[in-house]
Order: sequence, then structure tokens, then C-alpha cells
Amino acid sequence: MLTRAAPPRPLPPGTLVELPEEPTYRLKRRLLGRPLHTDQLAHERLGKPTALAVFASDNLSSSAYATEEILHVLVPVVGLAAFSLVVPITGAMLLVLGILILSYRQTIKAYPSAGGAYVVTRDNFGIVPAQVAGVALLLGYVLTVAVSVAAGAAALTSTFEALHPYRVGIACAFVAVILFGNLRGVRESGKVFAVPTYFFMLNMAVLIGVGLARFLTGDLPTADLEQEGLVELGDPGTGLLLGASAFLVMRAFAQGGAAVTGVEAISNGVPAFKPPEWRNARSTLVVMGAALGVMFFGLSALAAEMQVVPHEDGVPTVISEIGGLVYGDGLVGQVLYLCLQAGTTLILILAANTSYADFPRLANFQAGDSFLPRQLTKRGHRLVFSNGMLALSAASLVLVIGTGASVQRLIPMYAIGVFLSFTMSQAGMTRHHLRLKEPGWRLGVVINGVGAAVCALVCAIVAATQFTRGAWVIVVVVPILVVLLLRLHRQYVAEDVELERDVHAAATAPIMRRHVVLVFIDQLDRSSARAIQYARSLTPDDLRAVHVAADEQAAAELADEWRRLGLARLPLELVECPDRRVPRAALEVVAAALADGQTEVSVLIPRRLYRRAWHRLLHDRTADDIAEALARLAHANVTFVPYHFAEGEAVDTVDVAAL
Amino acid sequence: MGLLTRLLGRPAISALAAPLPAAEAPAADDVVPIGSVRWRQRVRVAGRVRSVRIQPWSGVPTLECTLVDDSGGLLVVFLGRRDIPGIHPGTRMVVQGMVGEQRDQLAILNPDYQLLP
Repeated sequence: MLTRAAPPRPLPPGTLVELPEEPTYRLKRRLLGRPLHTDQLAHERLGKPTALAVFASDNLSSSAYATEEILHVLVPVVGLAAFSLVVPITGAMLLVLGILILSYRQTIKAYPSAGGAYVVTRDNFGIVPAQVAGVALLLGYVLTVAVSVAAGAAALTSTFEALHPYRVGIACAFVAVILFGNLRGVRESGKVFAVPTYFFMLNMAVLIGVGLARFLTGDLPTADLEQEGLVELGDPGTGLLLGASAFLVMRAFAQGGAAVTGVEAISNGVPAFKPPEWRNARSTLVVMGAALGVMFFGLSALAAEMQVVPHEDGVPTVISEIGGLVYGDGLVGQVLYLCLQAGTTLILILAANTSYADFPRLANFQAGDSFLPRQLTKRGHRLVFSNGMLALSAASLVLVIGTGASVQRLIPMYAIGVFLSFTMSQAGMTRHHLRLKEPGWRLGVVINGVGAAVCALVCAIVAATQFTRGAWVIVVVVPILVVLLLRLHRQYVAEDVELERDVHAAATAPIMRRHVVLVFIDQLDRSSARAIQYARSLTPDDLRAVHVAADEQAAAELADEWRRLGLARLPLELVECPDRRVPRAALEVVAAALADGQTEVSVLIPRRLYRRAWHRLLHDRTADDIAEALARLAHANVTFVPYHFAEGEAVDTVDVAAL
Repeated sequence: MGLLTRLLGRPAISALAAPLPAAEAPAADDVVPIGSVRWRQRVRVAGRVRSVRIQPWSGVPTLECTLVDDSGGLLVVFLGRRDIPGIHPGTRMVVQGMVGEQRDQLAILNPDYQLLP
């Protein structure tokens, strides 16, 4: 029996070798918290009340700016007559909302899986039209963030006027905070979301209730038309439209279209509902639509009744003016006003936050279909799609800064993108009914057909009336992006086809006849000695050291030293390099070695690894440059041989003379 | 062809294409271009040393040079020498000898040589 002096011990905890984490990773961990285990990717199921809070914030928050945007179009042209037009326009928008709700009820039942318009379009029209829907949705999400943070900043600066000059900065800070929170992985945890949504709804209910009460008792105040910074009043005319052209009314309608954005959120998130998912999602959708309708209509009616003229730069907001007037100057009024503003700001931030769940998820879908860069499918440190979030933040920051955080300038782009995706989705649903002919398909065709037609009409109205005011951006960007995505797809497919062709034959192909190892040497030192030592372990057919003689003097000295140290058993090749392009000379040497087509070349490059980041700055990056130059040769296999600098102590025991 | 390629011109394919002009005017009249050299000829060629290899041949120290001119290149081998003062990458010289073969390449062994300034 075998006896041992020391029996084996159990493995140590963690890794066998101590490997300290990189400083950048330690910083990331400090900022974002512990990495989440892949098993922790759990799906939280939401009950109807929490689901309403989670999914409705985007939609409901639209009421915070929709009325103002309609007035902003009308007031400069028709003056006070705008207040007679705003309520009918709101009514028309609510009609569209109703049609959308009915249509999306169909979508929820037919597509209870996630994905929304993208998946609906992909299944019914194919992969290419789906990219149009996908691009429109992605842009919609980007604009949701931009509009919401801009409106949030407007709400905040309406309350604290001293902050007014810092609007853009505040909007950007909102994006940064939301991004940070999401990178840490703010899960769709209902409780966190429920508070601001219901707080906002409560505030709106109180506002509209108090406003209605004061209207009925006849003491609803009217706004002061002599304030500074108001939009200049136009002159009202006569006739049915009170002097407004049909074009103007349609433009106001288009601008108000922002109110219904976010309707699709519930249909994108059906799997998050408690079973029966589709039934719960449907009733939540109806409740959301009703709530939005009440709030939007109430605000428009109050604004019309009190003749609240919007400010030129959107601050203070119309909702803030209404709140100030309805609640009055008393202590209770002040508190209620602050609550209203806080609720508005919070729900707007929350609305931006919903895009951080939807955009990365859709980008993941599209990247999975090879239409977006693969990096977007990667889950990060905290199990969220970090790259998608970073892309979303970058794009929305561009918009926020580019428009000076102006809601008014962002809305035209927003409305057209959103209605484009609505149209695609509803048209897809119509086709779905026609294709499958499930029970009740005739009603479905009518509902979704009408939905698609109405959305297409709104889309056309937005494009026509708002083209010069920003909608052109989307009209130009969508086709460009779609073409780009298709090109990307072609590239991915071509790569996959090549990589997967004859894998078995490639795996069993005979090896090359010769194996040549070239060790690139700059000078004779411990790092090159280490590389030579490793080279000999490869047992090649031909092994030689190569020195690119950019400096003749240094080359001569190296050759002398080579002989002096008795290294002559290993050939040293000195290559001239009269133009001092070392990577190019290296490329030519390796290419010559490969010229017979039956040779595999291993190129060993000693690489020094420095103990401190700044030590690296003291040296150039020739080793990396050579490796990069050689990358274009097939069968040139570059290996870096590391040499680790120790501090003062000789850890390495390579004997140069013994080689 | 990509726009960039058109702007930059056709890329040189051969890695052996001499990046710089090789040796100029030969020293004597009977010098031939290296590209025209054939096996088992006695020739006199002139060119530039592109690379030098210090290599033992079965225990014998050997200095192996690649001599190139505009038309081509061949090996010039000095058996028994570890180094020859004056011969290093970039040296220009005239070489005369019998052309043999070494490792599938034309090679002149132990030639008469004359360094050019």
C-alpha cells in the first residue's frame, strides 16, 4: 500500500490560484453592486393594480404635456379662439385612443408573448417590414426618454423657477440617474413603481375634482394674460374653425397625438401579468385608457375654461399654471400644488424609465434576428441588457441636448415614430385575422383594419403638417436605419454561412506539412529569453529568432551579443528595414515563410507586462502593432509570450546563457 | 473595389516586392540581374543585403545573406564564418561564384565578394 507523507487536502475556497480582480471591475462592482447570478433571472408576475402602475406610466404621463402642445400650436395663430378648439381636438384624440385600445385588445389576445409590434409585423409581413416597425419602435423609445425627461425638467423648473437656466442639465441628469438605476438593475418591481403612478393619478383626480367643483360653483379663476414669456396671441377669426385653417387644426391634432403614446406598453409586456395573462392585460389596458381619457380631457377642459396660455419656452408648464390657479394661494392650495408638481415630475421620470425596460428588450429581439449588433443581446453585470441601455441613453441625450430639452420640438418626431409602429402593428393584426380565420375573425378584421387605417391617417397627418417642424428627421432616419439594418443582416448571414460550411471537413483536414516558429526579438534580454524558452517547447521544424533592424547599430550589437553568449545554435536573422516600419518588415518576413502554402507559422512576440498602468506609458506598443499587422495572414499564428516585471526580485529563472 | 482602395491605389500583393530601390549601378560590366540567374551558372551579381542570418550548418558556423536587386534575390552563404565585418542588412556588394541550391533556393556558397561603398 502506498503511504504518503502528507495526504491531500481539500481544495481551497474560490480559485486555486489567487487572481486579484482588475481595478476597473472593482470600481464597477462598487458602483453597481454584486454581480447577479444567472439563475436570478426570474420573471416577476404582476397583479392588475401593479401592472397598471408599471406599464401605464408612459401613457398616463403623456397627459402632462399633451394639452399644452395642442395650445402651443393654436394660440399663436387664433389667439383666444384656441380655447374653443382645444376641447374638440382633445375629443378627436380620445376617439383615436378608443380605437387604439380596441385594436390592442385584439393584439393582446393574439400575441400574448412579448415583442409587440416587431413580432406582430415579423409574423405577418415578414422580416423586412418588421425592421421598419422595429426601427420606429426603437426611435419611439428613445423619444419617450427624451420627451419625458424634458417634460420632467420643465415640471421641476416650473416649481422652482431659479432652476430655469439649468433645464438641459437637469434633463441630462435625469437620464444619468435613470441609466444608473437601470444598470444596477431596477427590476420591474411593482411596489417601487406603484407609488409615483398612483400618486400622480390621485393628484390629477384631486385637481380635476377641485377644478370641476369650482367651475360648478362659478368661481373658477381665469389666467392672467399679461404675464411675461407667454406665447404671443393671434387673432381669432370667424367661421366653423374660428379663423384656424384646417391645416392648423390638423397640426394641433398631430401635436396632441403625443397623448396616446405608450398605449402599446401593455401589449409588449403581457407575459408579466398573472395568469390568465391576456385577460388581465386586456382589462388593465381598458382601465389605463379610461384613466388617460379622464385626465387628458379634464386638463384640456380646465385649460380651455381658464384660458391658460402656454409659455413660449414651455416653463412654467400649462399643468403647473392650472394647478396654481385651481388650488389658489392658501396653505392647503400650496401643498396640493407642490404634490401635483412632484407627482408630475415623478411620473415623467418613471415614463422615461419604462423605455429602459422596453428598448433593450426589443433591441435584444432584433439583434437575435441578426439585424442589430450582437452586443445588444449580452446581459451585463446585473443581468440587464447594459449595452442597449447605454445606446438608449446616448441617443436620447443627443436629442435632449440637440433640442435644448424642448418638449415642443421633440413631439413631432415622437408622434410620427409612434404612429408608424402602431400602423405596422395594426396592419399586421389585420393580416393575422385574414390568415388564420380564428373564431370571430370578421370582427377582428374590422377593429384592426379601422385601427390600421386611423393610425396610418394620423401618421400621414403628422408627416404632412409637422414635416418642417421636426417630423422630417424621422422620415429621413427610418429608411436610412432600415437600409443599414438590412445591410448588417446580410453581413451576419454571409459570415454565418461561411463559418458553418463544411465544418466536418475543416475539422478533419490534414495538418500543414511544416511548422516554422519565428521569435521576434528587439534586444537580447530576459523577456526575449523567456520567448525563446517557450519556442523550444513547441518542437518546430524550423526555429529562428528574427530581429528587424530599424537601427543598424542596435542590430550589430545584438548580433555581437548573440555570438558572444554562444547562442549560435539558434539562427538569428537580421532583416533590413530602411523605412523604419517595423510591423511591415515583420509582415514581409512572415509572408515569405508562408510562401510555399504548406507551412504553419507561429510568431512569438515577447510582451512585457507592467506592474503599474503608468509604466506602460513609458514604452511604445510595437508588439501589439506587429500582431495587428500579421492578423491579415492566414496561418500566421501570433502568440504573445508574457514577461512579468517583478519589483526588485528575480522571480523568473531563465538562464540566458544556457539556451 | 471600395472607395478607399480606389483613392489609395492598388495594394502591393507580393510581400517580396522591394519597398525601396535596390542597389544602383553595378561596379563592373559583366554583372547580371539576379532575376536572370540560373542554377549551375557561374555568375557575377550585385545587390543589397536584405537580411542576414547567423546560422550553424551541422555545427559549422554559417553566415547566410539574402542578396536582392530590382529583379530578384538569392542566398549568399559564407560557411565557417560567424560574421564578416561590413556585411549587415543594407550592405551593398558584388558577389561572384557558382550558383547552387540550398533549401529550395538558389544559393552561392563562399563567393568572391566585394563590398560597395
